[in-house]
Amino acid sequence: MCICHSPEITILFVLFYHSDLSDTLGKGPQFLKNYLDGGTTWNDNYEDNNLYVLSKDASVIASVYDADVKTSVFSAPDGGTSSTYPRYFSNFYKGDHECRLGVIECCYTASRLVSQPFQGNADICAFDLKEAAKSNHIKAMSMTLYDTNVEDQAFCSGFAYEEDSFGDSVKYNTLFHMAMKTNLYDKGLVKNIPGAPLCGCVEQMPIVDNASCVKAVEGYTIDSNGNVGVNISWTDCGNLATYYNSLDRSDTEKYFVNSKIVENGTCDTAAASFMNDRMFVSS
Amino acid sequence: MTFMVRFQNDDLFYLCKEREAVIRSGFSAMTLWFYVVPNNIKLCLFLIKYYYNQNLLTIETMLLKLSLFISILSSSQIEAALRGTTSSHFFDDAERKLAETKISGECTVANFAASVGGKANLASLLKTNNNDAIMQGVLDTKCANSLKPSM
Repeated sequence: MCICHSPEITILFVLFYHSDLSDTLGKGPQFLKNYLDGGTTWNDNYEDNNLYVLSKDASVIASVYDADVKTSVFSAPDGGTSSTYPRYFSNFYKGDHECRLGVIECCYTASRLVSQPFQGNADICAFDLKEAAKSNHIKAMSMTLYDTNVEDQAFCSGFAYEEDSFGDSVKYNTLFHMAMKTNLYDKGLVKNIPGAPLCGCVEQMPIVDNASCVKAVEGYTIDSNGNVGVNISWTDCGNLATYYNSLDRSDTEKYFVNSKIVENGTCDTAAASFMNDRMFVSS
Repeated sequence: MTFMVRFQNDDLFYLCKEREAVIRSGFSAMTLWFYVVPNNIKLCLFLIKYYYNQNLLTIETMLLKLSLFISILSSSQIEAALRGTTSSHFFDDAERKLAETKISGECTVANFAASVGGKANLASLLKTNNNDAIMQGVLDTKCANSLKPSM
C-alpha cells in the first residue's frame, strides 16, 4: 500500500497545510486539470439507467458549494503542483500572468443528464490550437475552422472582472459557481469544444458568437466581535462581450475580447477574418 | 485488527471541514483530539501506529488516558452549557456565527452602517471612534483581509 495516496494523509494535509480548490475537491490536481480540459468521469460519464448519477458522482461539488464557495476566498488551483510544474493549471495563465484580459470562459458541447437535453447558445467559429497547447497537447502550429451546422452549437458562459477588483479577488469562487455548480452539477453540461479546454482564459478559447455572463456581487458579513467576512453572491450580466465593454478596460483589451466573442450571427465573417490573418483565403 | 479506515468523498470532506473549522476557531490541540477520537478512533490508531511505531498495548493505554480526559472535558462543557455560562470556545463560535450581519455592496462605512443600525453601532462593533475616516480605514483593512484566499 502506498501511504502517500491514502485518505488519512489527505486529511493531515488539509488539516495542517494551506489547501486550495484542488485539495478541497479531494480528487487531486490531475483530476481537476483534466476536468478543466474536458476529460475525467465528470465529463465522460452519462447518466444511464441509474448509473453514473451526476448528483452522486459529483456530490463533492454540492458539499463544497454549501460550505465554502460564498464565504471563503479560493486561491488559484494548485494542489502542490507549482513547485514541480509551474503554472500546471495552464488554463488560467497567459505567460506568467493569470488571464491577462480578465475573462474566464467555459464552453460545453453536451449534457450528461437525460432529463436535460443539451441546448447551445453559441456558434463555434474558429480556433488557433496553439493558444491551448497545454490542454490539447498539440505542439505544432495548428488551427481549426469549425464551419459548424446549427445543431453543432456550443453552450458558452463566462465572467469578466477589472484588475484588483472584488471580482478579481473571488474569480476562482466564481469559476466554481459557474463551471462546477451551475453548469455541471445543476445543468449537466459537459465536454469541451474539440481542441479547446473546457474552461480557461478567453485567450485560450475558440472564437464563438455568444457567451452568457455571470458576475460576482460584492458583499460582506460582520459579527458581534467586529470580525468581517466575505459574502459572495452572483447575478446574470447578459452577454459576456457586452459586459466586458462596460468595464474599465483598455480599448486594446476590449478589441481582443470582442474578436473572441463576436456578435451573434457573424461567425462566418469572424472565421474568414481569422483565416485571412493566417494568410488563408477561401477559394 | 485493521488500522485502515476508508472514507467516501463526502465523509472525507466533512471530516476535513470539521478539522478546519476547529483550527480556525482557535481550539487547543487537546480540544482537537476531543473531536477526532470519538468519531474516528480507527484513524487515530492508524496514525499513532504509523508515525510513532507504537505497539498495541501502548496505544490502548494512551487511548484510555485520552478517553478519561475527554470525559472530563465533555462533562465540564455540558455542565457549563446547562448553567448557561457557555465557557467553551465552541459555543462562543456558534453564537458568533448566529450574530453575523450581511452587508450588500462595497466595503464602505455607509453600507456597513446601514446594515448594523447606524454609525454608532458600527463604531461599537469595530471598537473605534465614531469617525468616518477612522472607521473606513479599519473596514478597508478588515475587508482586504477577508478577501485573502483561505482555501
